[in-house]
Amino acid sequence: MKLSGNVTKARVLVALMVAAMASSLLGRHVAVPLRRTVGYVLAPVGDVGMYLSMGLKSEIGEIRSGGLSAEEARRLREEISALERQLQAVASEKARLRHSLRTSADISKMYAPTSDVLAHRLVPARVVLSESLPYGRTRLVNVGRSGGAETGTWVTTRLVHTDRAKALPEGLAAITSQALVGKTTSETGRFTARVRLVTDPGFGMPAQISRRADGRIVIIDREDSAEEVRLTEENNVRIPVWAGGGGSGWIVVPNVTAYHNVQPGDWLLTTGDDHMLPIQIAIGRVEKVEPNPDDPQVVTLRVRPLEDLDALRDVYIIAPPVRGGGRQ
Amino acid sequence: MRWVALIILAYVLILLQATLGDVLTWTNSPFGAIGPDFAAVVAVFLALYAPTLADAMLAGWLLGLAIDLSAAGAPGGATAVGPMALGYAFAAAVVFQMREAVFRDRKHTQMLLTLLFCLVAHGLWISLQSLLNWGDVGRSDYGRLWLQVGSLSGYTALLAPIGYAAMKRLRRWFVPTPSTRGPRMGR
Repeated sequence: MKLSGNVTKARVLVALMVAAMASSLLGRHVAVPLRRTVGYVLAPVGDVGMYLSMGLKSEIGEIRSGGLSAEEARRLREEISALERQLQAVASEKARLRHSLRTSADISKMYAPTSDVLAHRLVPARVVLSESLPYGRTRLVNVGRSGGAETGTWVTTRLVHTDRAKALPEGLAAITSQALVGKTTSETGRFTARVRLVTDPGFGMPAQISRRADGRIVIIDREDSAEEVRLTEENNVRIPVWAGGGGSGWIVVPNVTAYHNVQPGDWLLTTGDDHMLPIQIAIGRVEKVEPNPDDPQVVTLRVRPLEDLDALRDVYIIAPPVRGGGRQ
Repeated sequence: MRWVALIILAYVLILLQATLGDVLTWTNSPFGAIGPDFAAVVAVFLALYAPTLADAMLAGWLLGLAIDLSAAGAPGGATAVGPMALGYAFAAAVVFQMREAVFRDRKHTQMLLTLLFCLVAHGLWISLQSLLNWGDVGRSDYGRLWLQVGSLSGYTALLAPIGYAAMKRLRRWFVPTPSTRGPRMGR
């Protein structure tokens, strides 16, 4: 009896090992539907775990950070006053742009032919599961195809800037910026979607670097020569780059020409050319500029995502355009 | 082995690893994120107490499959389902073969066996995934992944005695204890 039990188990084991090998060779053809199904089983319970995880993380963060030193407080005050000055400039620019937008809207209403309206929707979603292994940086969210998420749709967050000493009023206080956090993968099911974060090793996208016009010396290509100039608002062009996930907390931007003189603090933005994401939004800020030992003409940028991706909870899926409908 | 209880345990472990495991994950290391593998600790425990080699490997296969189904990111993009099931089953066989030569209740033994288990299972996993996605994974990426595997294995090994102690209390739920027959001593 014991022997026959052992033989059966051994046979089952052999069959399962062969099945695992076959599934490995078939790759994503088997993996995608299997993971999608498992996502439905894990997602409802995972939400509770993520809630606890985020709570613990924020507590640990509070303990680690402690209070602000006098130097940090002084630096923050300086940054705030600089930002306030910038905000005033942005507000006047915004008023000017709004006026021209109104004018052009009036003109197009009068003369342009009637056409379908392409509108993107922001679908709120919640992260319900992380990864069981740290090699990849993906998250499972509780919105799938039924909610508007498709394979390859972009995922953002909205940053709410407020004084932590004050309670948030009902609804959102002030939405001031948006940050790209990732893109949905082919494991998007009816009720859940897998989001590949911008730091995942498998992530890659065309992007652009926006330098601060702070008077740094850069080299600008002319038709038949190169000229060394100071970077100003007028000659500050965006640098097209390829950005990929670094596998840890970074986004890596390789092979950036050194004479562009990209410096820590510069911004990594989306290009705005993608029809699924037709706007330029921030991805992160350059934190390190590393020389390439093999080629001194290029540098590698390490970009810190704007959003804390380890504590990601509420996100917005930019749902594909709705043809023939209005903005929802 | 009590297989229904083991399937439930695999489900709970994966939930823990994919939610609370994130709290223990360090993402700012130079060669990638480093987090613990709770399922490996349980697989080592089961390999030390399983009645037969086939039981140890089947338990390893089950836990490995659970990991495969909940880990979507890997070298070269999307991962296949199966390599971790193979890796865990193989690593469980290694631990099972070694168990007669060690004192399993010693903390150092538990840590060493967990280190070995993780190196074998995760090493096999990154190798298979890299082979399946060859072209997208360069040699430098593969080298960096081995550093990540080494760090993850060391980290998990440090936590192993805690997991082992917890599993020892729950042992009878998953591994049948051998029945004692005949008159007991002292009667």
